[in-house]
Amino acid sequence: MHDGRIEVNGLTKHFGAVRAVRDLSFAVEPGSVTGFLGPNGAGKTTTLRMVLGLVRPTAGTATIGGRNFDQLGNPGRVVGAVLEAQNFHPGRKARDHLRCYAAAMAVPARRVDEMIELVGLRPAARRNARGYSLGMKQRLALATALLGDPQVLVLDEPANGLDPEGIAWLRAFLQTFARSGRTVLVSSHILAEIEQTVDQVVIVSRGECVYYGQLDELRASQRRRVLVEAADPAALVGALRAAGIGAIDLTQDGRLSVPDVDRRQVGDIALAAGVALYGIAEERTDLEQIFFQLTSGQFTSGQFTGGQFTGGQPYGWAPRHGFAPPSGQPAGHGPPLPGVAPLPGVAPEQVQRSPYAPPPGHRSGSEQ
Amino acid sequence: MSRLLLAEVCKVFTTKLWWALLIPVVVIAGVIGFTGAAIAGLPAVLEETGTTVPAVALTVPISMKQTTIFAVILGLIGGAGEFRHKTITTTYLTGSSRGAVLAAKTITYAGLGLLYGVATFGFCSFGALISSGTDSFPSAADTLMIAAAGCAGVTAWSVLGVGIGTLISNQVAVLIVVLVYTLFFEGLLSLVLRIPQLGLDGVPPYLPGAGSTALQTDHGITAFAETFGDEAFGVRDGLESLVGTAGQLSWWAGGLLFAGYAAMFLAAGWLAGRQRDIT
Repeated sequence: MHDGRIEVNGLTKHFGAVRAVRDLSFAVEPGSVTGFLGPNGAGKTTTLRMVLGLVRPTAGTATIGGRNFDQLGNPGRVVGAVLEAQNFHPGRKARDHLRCYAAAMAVPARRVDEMIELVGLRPAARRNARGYSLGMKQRLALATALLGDPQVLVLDEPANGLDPEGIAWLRAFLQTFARSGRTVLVSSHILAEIEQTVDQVVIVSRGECVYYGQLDELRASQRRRVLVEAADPAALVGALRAAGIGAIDLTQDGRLSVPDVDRRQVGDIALAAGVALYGIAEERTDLEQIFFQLTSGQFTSGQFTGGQFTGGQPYGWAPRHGFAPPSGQPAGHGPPLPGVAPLPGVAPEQVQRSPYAPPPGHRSGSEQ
Repeated sequence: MSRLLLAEVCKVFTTKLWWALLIPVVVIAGVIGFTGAAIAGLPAVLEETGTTVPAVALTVPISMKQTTIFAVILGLIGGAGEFRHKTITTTYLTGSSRGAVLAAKTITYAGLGLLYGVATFGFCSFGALISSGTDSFPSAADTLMIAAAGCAGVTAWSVLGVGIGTLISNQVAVLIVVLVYTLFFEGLLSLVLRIPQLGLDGVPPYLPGAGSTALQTDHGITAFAETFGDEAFGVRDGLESLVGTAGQLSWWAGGLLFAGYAAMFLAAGWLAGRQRDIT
């Protein structure tokens, strides 16, 4: 059994004059989910493809369980990868696609149907991949990656095309997968997308590593402040200063900005000083802002001006706060992966009909 | 290795291409077999020649030569198709090495080529049988030899296709290049090379298509001509200038030559595929 540690050492790739990846080093430990973050074009995909033996490094090494990809023997049984959605023959049925790759990995055909169930593709399994939506292709890609029951899972922007339900499921799945002692490396260009899922992050920008470590440590470097609207700001400032709190600013809307304190602390001081408060709010520098600061060097012109990211959620789907992956997963020991409930099946409406061969009635006539 | 072989066979038989290309193969072979035997069985022909004419000795090689076109298309798509649909990523992720994947493909498509060859022989013979019974067949040994040489040529073409398909990997480009060469360019090149002033008229028999044609037709032409006893030499000469195979190599030399071409392209595909970045 391979221990599933991914180790990247001084990895470098030049495409002609383009230096896609420069001297990148990091390690992904089994039992953890590692986020691989960076803006588009930062070299994430190239790095993952070098780890998987698809792209030859200009310099450096990438190993899985201490071995190069081409030394793994039956690699599908060691590492599964979801790299891009469009990698199916349009005229091959999803189940046949899985059958062929099950043969390549020498896993029993039974596993094909188990994976179809797991990713919720059963309603569309006997349909040509031609009619698949992006989300369904992602599910099929994931089913393919999991066929060999691998120790390591590598995913490149897996949330692309998945619906919110699918994304929530994927998060829970990856965490369960990692908790069973396996390794997950997942790339994204949006920190919020994987913030709740990952334990550690590798942040790259322009092909270079700009941060590598625990996400908690990155969080610890966040700055926080309390914004407070007081009846008598001057009196409150005096009271806060007396309490040893300095560096207080007045914001444009007349509120006080008090750095590095707790909301309750400010409230208590105000009460003691007899100053009425009309509003109080705690604010943190967003992780996204830190991510942006770390990676902004990639862009010379100011595409991203400060503060743009503090508002709404990029791409509108990723819950930032208060999101918890479904708890209390059934603890059954089903063969696919213990403790993971299958992803609910694709809705019939998601199944696009092939213009050439209308699928035999997955909708009953009563709907017409 | 055997698991990759199973995977390649699975890929072939879960898409339509293999039978879509097999349809024209068997139709053409059947029509050529039937027509050839029918002409050979005409009373006027029998009267003129004074003997039964073994049309199958010519119709099988001609059919086999047609089949090579479809076999090479099959092989080219086998080599390049996975790049087109980007399934090559998954294939390489599940293969012990790229060389093993190519080997599995080569064996699979060689088998398919053989299948196409056998189908060609079967339908061509069937056409001849329903048209004029066994009269239009040469001796059993000759028939077998002609069929085997034809099948070998078809098999080698599909292997060559896998090699070039892996080498060039752009499916559309590789189909155009190979079909233009085989259907048009080699013939033109031969004509040019045969211009006496160039002094290159020894070259054309060594071109790939000529080698394969020699393998597939040499024995048939000989068997056909020998039927006519004393006139054999003249018949052979006439036939060869008619189909443009004059001066071609013997079947075994042509076969070795073409096998060399196929091996060369396979090796080139292997070398190129080994280095290629899959992005």
